[in-house]
Amino acid sequence: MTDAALSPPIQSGALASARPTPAFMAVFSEQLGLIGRAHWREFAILGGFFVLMTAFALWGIIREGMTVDFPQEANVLVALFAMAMGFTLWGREKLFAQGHFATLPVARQQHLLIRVLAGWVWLAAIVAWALIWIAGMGLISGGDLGFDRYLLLSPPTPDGHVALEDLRQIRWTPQTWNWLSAFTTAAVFYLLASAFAIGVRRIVVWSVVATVVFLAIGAEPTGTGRGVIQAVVGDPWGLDNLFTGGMGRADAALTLADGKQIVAWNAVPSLRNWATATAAWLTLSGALVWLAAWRHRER
Amino acid sequence: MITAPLLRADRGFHAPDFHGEVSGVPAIATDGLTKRYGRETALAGIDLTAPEGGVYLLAGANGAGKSSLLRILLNLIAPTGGTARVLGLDPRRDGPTIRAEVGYVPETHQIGYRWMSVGRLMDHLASYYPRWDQAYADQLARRLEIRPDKKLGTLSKGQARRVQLIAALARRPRLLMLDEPTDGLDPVARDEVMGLVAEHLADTGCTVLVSTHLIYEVERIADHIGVLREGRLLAQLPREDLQRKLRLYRATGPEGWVGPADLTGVMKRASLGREIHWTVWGEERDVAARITDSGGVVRDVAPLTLDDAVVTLMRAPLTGPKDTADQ
Repeated sequence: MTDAALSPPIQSGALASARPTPAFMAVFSEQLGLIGRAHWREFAILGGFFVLMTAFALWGIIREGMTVDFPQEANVLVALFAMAMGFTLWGREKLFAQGHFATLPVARQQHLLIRVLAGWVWLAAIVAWALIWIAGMGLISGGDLGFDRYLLLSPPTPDGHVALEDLRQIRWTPQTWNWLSAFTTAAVFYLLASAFAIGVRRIVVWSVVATVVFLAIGAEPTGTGRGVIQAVVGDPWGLDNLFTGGMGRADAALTLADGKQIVAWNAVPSLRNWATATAAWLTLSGALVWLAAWRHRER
Repeated sequence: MITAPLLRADRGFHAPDFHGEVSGVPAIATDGLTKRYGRETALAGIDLTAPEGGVYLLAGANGAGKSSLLRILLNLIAPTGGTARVLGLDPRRDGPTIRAEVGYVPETHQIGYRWMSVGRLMDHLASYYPRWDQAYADQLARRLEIRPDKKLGTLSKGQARRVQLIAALARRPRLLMLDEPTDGLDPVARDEVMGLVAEHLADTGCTVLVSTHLIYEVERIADHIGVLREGRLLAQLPREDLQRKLRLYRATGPEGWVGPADLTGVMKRASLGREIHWTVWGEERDVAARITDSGGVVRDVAPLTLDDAVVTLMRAPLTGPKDTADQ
């Protein structure tokens, strides 16, 4: 031992009177850094995936004159990725066993919500990167990211046929809200997964239960099951509206008078559909996260 | 030598009250603290008082409820009943502030995240503890030979405990709570850890609550003793009271002499020929007088080591009315 006064008393008056608990920004920045550092492998894999995708896309654009559409349906992938991120973020924390996270000097509910927020910032950055990538590929391919569709102007005849004059070809290009929907979809599924990971003690057991229930409802969509599926997928708050503003349900398989089969839209995806569903799902998922964090509150 | 523990409620023994007056401003005070896990009672009405600036040894066998008590004080778990104050604060309302003011070394050897290096852990803690003293942390790390680049997941138990201690001390706590701080450590590491606590105590005068069943390790620093058994605080008193009241008496008497029949507070009795040894809770003058009155000659009276005294208390019965002899 060479340090004569190993632990000298705190001399500084400022230090002695400093607030003992950390400020919001200190915790938020630290969680932001922690998440980045803890998940660098996942982020590296994601980076590699983007490199691969870029190579394929460039090959297609340059060699085959491929154009890039706005992949509105890819919001399903965004949702899956966001869910995985929600689970990954909390998988290593022993929230119900009062592990390291619980011993830190921040009100637990607030602390959990700060970490959720920090995770969301990372997720939003990844989504932004993906959108920039899509826009970039669109630019390189020389397109407007849009695609052509038939729009059904009047309902089919009783025998299910459609006259050609009842169809109009339109070009659909992504609106501002279509770009935003990637962020909101990611946020909703990230929050749902976070709520599940934070609020449920036995995640594996409850995941199995939830899957079995979902499959059971899906296997026989009648009565209550049909109502549940309609509420989750259909109008006005369903997932299709959340993902695309109603693009999936707008698709209708039609038969022309000459017997030719086509797919046309019976309605155009709308901001209103998307905004209604997004508001509902964000409220629900946000409330669930808040409730899940509330389970761990100081009491 | 025949030894026989004499404290048996079913033999009509009256358990003494092992509680003494704990003076000074309390750093920790609990009132009827209770914790139940389902049907199991971990803590049954604990009234603990640890004075500020002192070293309170919370002794008890494994499963006595020590860790539960500490976790309640940090509001890591909620009590079933009763109240607690830590540094004048209510853990249920001011849990974060208490956790900021307390240097806590948990029973487990886990700290931070396995992927973290020691240096990154220190940065992490510095973000959470505004009073974090990095220079002191570096100094401690050098002293304890902990490399900052070492990954937490690769630390041995001894190294992890040292890191936990650095983490607890460098936040400049007003109160240290050490839960089995030397559990699982080799003798050298144990000595190092307790030496560091003793030095920190001498330098800063902070309060220490140390929970352990290895009493001899804190013998040199403990000044207040609490004994937990089966969730009850069986004893609580200043160390000098314990060593004054709980003594070993060695006496001889005439052939067939068995000692005084009315000797109360006997914790242990052993006979070796005509010599009888008693471990007795009571005032020395009274106990010696009773032995002498019964025809015996007191040859020696000695205080027990802290380790022996606490072990003796840990074996004491849980029930029985107060002994008048110790009032």
